Order: sequence, then structure tokens, then C-alpha cells
Amino acid sequence: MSIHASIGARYSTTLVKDSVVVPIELQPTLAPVVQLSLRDAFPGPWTGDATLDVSHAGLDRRESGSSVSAGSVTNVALLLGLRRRLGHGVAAHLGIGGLIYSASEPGVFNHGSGGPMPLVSLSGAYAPPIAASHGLELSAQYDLHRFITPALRSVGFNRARPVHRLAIALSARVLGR
Amino acid sequence: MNARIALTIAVLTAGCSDIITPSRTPRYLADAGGDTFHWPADRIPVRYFVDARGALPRLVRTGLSAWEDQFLYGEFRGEVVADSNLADVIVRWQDSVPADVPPDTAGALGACDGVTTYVVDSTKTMTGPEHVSLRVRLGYTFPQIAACFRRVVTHELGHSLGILSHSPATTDLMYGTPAIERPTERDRNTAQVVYHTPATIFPPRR
Repeated sequence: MSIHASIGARYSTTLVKDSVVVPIELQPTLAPVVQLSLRDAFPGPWTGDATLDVSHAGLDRRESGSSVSAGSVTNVALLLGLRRRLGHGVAAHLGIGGLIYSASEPGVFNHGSGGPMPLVSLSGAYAPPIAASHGLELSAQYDLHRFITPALRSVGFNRARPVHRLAIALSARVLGR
Repeated sequence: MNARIALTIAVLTAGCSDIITPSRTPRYLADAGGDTFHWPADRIPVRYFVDARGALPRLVRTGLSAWEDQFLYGEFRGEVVADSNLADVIVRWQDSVPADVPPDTAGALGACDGVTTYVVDSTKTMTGPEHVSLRVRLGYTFPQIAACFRRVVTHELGHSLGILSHSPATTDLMYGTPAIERPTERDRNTAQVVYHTPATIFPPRR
């Protein structure tokens, strides 16, 4: 069993597309991300893990060619995953879990976030042989969830919007082997 | 497993083209003789100076909160400032200060009134802060007056943020003689549309 810590940056697609006289988009800014994973090796090439993922982004409201801050948002996700070594220091990972939003301003979170949003994550990691002894890895992570809040429902949004996120992170083993 | 992953992603993304954008109807016209106003993004939060006497500070904070709740994207926020020289909006009692008592739940329309005024120059730029004046009307009990101001203060704040006219619907907060304390769906839709409509009246220079 081992514990791994990661830091990186995350891009997210638009949370809300609206039209009030003009088109409006609400999108998180590029965000720092921190992850803490507990990994346990299974027989063969498989590893199971539980990951706590925290990121904090500004929220931009975009309309008529301008961008205005609409506060900020903190995401906390908990993922359970399976990881498979593919050889040559490359590994693939699949995770599922839940994501919650906590915002600095009410706005679309005026009536809360609506609870955890299901999240599915796919990632690939590369561990250079020279850094293998420290468990250093570079990973590219993609995840997907659907975003809607009670405030959006209350004004008439009928469906959640798929939100795609992409993160690049550097991780290291901090405990265990 | 690959098929399951594909299915999961398909379920999560399904219907992305079917999201309906709310129409923001019903609503009413919020202009004044064809002119529209809203506080621009670089003037948010709007600064309110409030007469500290009686219940007014609490009523203004409650009213601002009620209006802020109507917006999804941080279009409007207000803050109370201590210096009237820094204010965008000045809220005052016009003459007497009513007693701060629990409101009458039976309700009595017309126990108070308010007016929101501003002056614009030839470029349709406000020459100074907006003024909200609140007045007690004679012949009513203090609880009736207290209930009235809970409605009228929030109503006048609606004018101050950019709803320059009255709703034709008697059930709306922005009806001329409001009978409720919070914005309705029509008030909300109207306020949201105002904040995404190009303004023709501009705030005072700082």
C-alpha cells in the first residue's frame, strides 16, 4: 500500500450556456489541482486506488466579447479507481466517484450545488525509469460529469450540461512502496 | 470493460444538444421612455449609503440580498458603505423615522411610500448618486408602517438597480403598490434581462 500526492493544472469546459438577450457562458478558469491517492497493488498488473482531488478555479462570465469574474469555485472529488500497468513505465487508470462544488458567490449556487455529481475519470501516466524509485509520474487526466444546480433548474434549465475537464499533474510517492 | 466505459460516457453526454435555455418570460418592460439602465460590471458591488436610524439598515440589507438572489452570474451585488460621499445610491427617510416594531401580518397597503430619483446630463450620464427617499404616511399604525416598508424598501432598491418602471401585474414586487416582500418570477426575469441589455443611461463618474 502506498500514498501518492499530485499537483497540477486543470482546464474545464463551460458549466453553463445561457442566453439572456445575448449568449452567456460561465466557465472555470485554469485551476491548480491537488490530489492525494491511496494505492494498493492487486495481483498482476492491477492496482486499486482511492483519490481525493481538490481544485480551485475562478469563474468567468463571458458575454458580448468580454469576460467578468463571477466569483470562484472549489471542487472536491472522491474517486475509486483501477489502474493497470501497460509496460515501459506507462499506466492507464479508470475511476468513478462523486464531485461537489463549493462556490464563493451564490449565483448559480444560490440554492446550493445540488449534492455530489457522478464523475467518471480516465487517465494515462508515465513514470520515467530514472524516477521510478521515487514513484514520480506525469499524468494526463480526463474526467466527465454533468452540471446543473437547483438555481439553474428553478429558472428553467431542463438538463444538466456535460462538463469535460483535463488535468496535467505530476505525482510522487510520499509513503509506502 | 471497454464497452461499459463507452456506455457510461455515452449516458453522461447524452442529450447535450437538447438543453433548453430558459426564455425569461413572463416579464415586463423596465425602461423609462425607451432608456435603460443597469450598473456595469466595473461598478459592482454598488455602494449604498443608508440612513442609520430605525430599521432602515436592516431593511436595505434584506432588500439587497433579495435582489442579489435573482441573478445567476453575479450581475448585481450591493454593499452598504459608511460614507455618503462614496455612495452610488443614498437611501434616507424623507421625514419622520418610523418605530422599529414587528410588522403587522394582516397587511395594509399605502402605509408608506418611496421614490427613487436620479438626474442625468445631456450625455445621459447620472450627475450624482441615485436617491431613495422613504416616507411614512399618516393614519396607520406602526406595525402597518413596518410591514409596508418591508415591501417598499425592496421595491425601491429594484428601481435603483435598473428596473426603471412599474410592473403592470398587481402580484409583482415592482407593481406600483407592492403587496409582497420579495421579487416574483416576472420581477426576476425582468431584472435579468435588464442586466444584459445595453444601457442608454450611465452611472455617475467616480
